[in-house]
Amino acid sequence: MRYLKLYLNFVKNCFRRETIYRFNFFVNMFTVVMGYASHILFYYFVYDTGIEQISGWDRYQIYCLLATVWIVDSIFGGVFFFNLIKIPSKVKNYELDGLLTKPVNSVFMLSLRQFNFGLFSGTFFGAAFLIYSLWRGNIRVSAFGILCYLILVMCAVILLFSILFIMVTFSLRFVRIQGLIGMYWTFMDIGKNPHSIYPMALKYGLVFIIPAIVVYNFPVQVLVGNHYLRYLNSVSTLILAIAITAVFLTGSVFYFRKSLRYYYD
Amino acid sequence: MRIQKAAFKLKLSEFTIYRSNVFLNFFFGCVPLLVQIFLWKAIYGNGLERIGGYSYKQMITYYVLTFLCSEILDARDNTVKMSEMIQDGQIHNYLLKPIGFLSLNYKLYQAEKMIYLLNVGIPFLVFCLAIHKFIYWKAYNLLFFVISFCLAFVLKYMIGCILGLITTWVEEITGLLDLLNNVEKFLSGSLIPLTLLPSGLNMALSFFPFKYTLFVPVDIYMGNMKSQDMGISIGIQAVWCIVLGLVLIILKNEAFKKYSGYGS
Repeated sequence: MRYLKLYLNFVKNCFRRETIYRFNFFVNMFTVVMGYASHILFYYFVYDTGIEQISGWDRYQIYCLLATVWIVDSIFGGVFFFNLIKIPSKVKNYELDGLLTKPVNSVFMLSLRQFNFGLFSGTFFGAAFLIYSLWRGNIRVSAFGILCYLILVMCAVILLFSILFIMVTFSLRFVRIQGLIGMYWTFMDIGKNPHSIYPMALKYGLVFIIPAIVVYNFPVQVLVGNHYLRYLNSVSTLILAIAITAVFLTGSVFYFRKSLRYYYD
Repeated sequence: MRIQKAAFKLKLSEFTIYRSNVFLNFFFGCVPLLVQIFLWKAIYGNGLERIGGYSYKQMITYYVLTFLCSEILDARDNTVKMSEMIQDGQIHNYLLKPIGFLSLNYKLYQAEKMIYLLNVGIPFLVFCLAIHKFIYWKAYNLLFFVISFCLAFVLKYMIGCILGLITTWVEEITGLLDLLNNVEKFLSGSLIPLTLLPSGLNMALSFFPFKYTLFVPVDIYMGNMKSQDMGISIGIQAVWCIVLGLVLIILKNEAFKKYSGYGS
């Protein structure tokens, strides 16, 4: 309860700041919308050349994938991204020392202090585009499917958090890690395409080693039924995603605690 | 020439410090190209021989070339640096020098890009050889490609400078830069070859300078343009260079009149 109150205060403070720089808020929002719109236009024009399917995905199934990418990135971007990305500079400027002395969980303080409304607003655009794609593509989804989708989106956000958290934790030892963060984006972007375009060995790697397919493809699979392995159904996809998320989250927090000991020394 | 040499030396020493970062960025930039190979293989798997006038090999080559060209032509760092110099008053140091601000800035920019090209040239060739099965090696109009690329280089530099100088009036331009970056990706053909767009839209894009900063040089390399169209496109690039050059000079004069250097 204490943490919830604290978090609400963080969000309130961020909202006040956003209202001061309103122009910046709208520019940010418009920029993000333009970025996703250009990806949608890419597939729009590709399908306009007369192609029916890309590796078993029709136009509206791909749109569902793009909408999911938009939703996952917006939630992660709004809630976690700007907090995690600032950790290396906090280490460099010794701001981390001050944060560690506070009587609050250090992972909580480091990962939830900032809330970016501009990026988070993309969730609503993504959701609207997802509903449009399901409707136009005549894709019927059960209540259970929606529940699975929401859980998988949550897993995706936690996975993105865990992976970036591991990357930025490296800064406790090496300080300069821009190259690693670049690597993070590059590998995550691989998952933003339909999984069926990749060879099977690569697909396994993108599920169990760098789970980019789990992040972006798994949620949409329970909606459109285009599973990455034929013998997987919604329930097994869900269990697999939860297991992978649990491993990465536990690993990231464990690695952070271990690196903190190194930092104290 | 002496100034150009000094700029080259300065940028070379800067490059040696950040060398690992430059190489890492380049190598990770190659990963999306591999993704494009898989994606377009799946798209062409539908039995189509040509899409937007491109064969599969030409399409992959298109993305490989746009990647290299956009890396070399990327003027964002220069724009941000110029904007920061105006914000914190560092531009004073340049205004006191016995050489024009833009002239010195262009020489430094040119040197930086030359060093980048010299360093990533070999890794890029190795990468192309590694994926040689997917590369369209026929350069029909290499000379015209080089001319068009040089004009695109100047165009991109001038667009970046204009944005950088706008800082004198609006103070913060990073949001504007990100916005332009997203719009430009689409309008310049970095995301998708412009021949895939409906002809009306493609025609409309001809009235903006972005198409001439990337799509035109790459399309010339592919040999997709007739010699007459090639001449017209290069001519339009030259006209854009003159127009933006004039805008840049006027803007620079106005900006330096308004600039007061508070806080420097």
